[in-house]
Amino acid sequence: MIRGFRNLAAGLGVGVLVVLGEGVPDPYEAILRSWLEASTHLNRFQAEFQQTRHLKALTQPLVSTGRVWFSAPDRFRWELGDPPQSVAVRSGDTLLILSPRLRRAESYSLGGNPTGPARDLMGLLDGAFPRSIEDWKGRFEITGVSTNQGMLRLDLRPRSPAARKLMPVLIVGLDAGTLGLRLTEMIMVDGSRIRSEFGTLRTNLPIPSELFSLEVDPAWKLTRNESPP
Amino acid sequence: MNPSLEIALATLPHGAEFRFVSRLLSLQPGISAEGEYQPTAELDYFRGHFPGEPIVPGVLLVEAVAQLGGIAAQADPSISPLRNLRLAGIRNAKITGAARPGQTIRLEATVMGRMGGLILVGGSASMDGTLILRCEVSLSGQEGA
Repeated sequence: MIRGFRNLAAGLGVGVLVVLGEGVPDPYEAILRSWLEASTHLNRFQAEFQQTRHLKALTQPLVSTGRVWFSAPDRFRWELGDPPQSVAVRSGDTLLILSPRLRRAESYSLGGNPTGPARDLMGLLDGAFPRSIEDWKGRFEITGVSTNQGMLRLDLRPRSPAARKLMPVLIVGLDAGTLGLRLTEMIMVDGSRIRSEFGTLRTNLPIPSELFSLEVDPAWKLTRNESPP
Repeated sequence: MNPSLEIALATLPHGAEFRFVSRLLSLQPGISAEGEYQPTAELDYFRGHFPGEPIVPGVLLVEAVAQLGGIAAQADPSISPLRNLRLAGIRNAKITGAARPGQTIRLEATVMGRMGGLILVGGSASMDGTLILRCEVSLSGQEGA
């Protein structure tokens, strides 16, 4: 399931997160804090995204579209494909991964104290729109910074060895004016790249609560897991 | 004006018609700058803003802070000046007063941070010690010669 979870993390474009820990030059700090400040003002958002996967085994990239919704502090819904072929819903300590074509669902508990890659990837999920500097601390270090066509690009390296085994490099693109998220790109350990480019973020609009519902159609096959993927 | 300040002011890429820093009062290269803007009654924009009651548009005060911040940032001796530096964003702007033709507007700008080609500037405008603008602006330019 870790593969599916990795895809989920990629779809969310997660990782928007650098931390003001060791090695962050002082001139960066004000900009990172402004980015965090902009993010923490988001109680709800929804956005469309285009995901491009460059897989080692394929000569042509795979392109999909998707949508994401978030409601603070811990509810999100992520759909990939139209109609959706993969759906992930998180509400509180439960993560539900749905495969509509297969009429299959998997439920995971995110409570307790997950360890290893699961903990790191959940950290990435929470980091997509960071709520506090503490959430960030220790997760990434900045290995490169550049600006082009109105976008600030940050090249990041996960500090956790476990996270680096899956994703040694994460690229985050921020709008130079608003510091809003424009893209993420995960470079996986096998060289595959998963890039998510976000459209206009619609913020603080009402989101129907049923989008975060954890109910599963009784006709579907549901597998319950008491631990994170 | 101090010759070194004149040189720094001359680095502004804007033409005379769109310069909103008349004098540079102090400069800490790469860190901060203080300046003045003295709009004269003959300026075209006063005819429309507003007829019979001319005041300096608030957006031009923001532009003035951006220009002053650009001077401070581009003077940093340890970093090559960015090419095509442009105003990219405005945040936390609050306009609390208005300036009229002939009045002297005191400007302050501080480089709060920079990352690659992005510069974050915090600044203010005041008249006779009364704050009329506070804002943050981001400037974006291209690195490399």
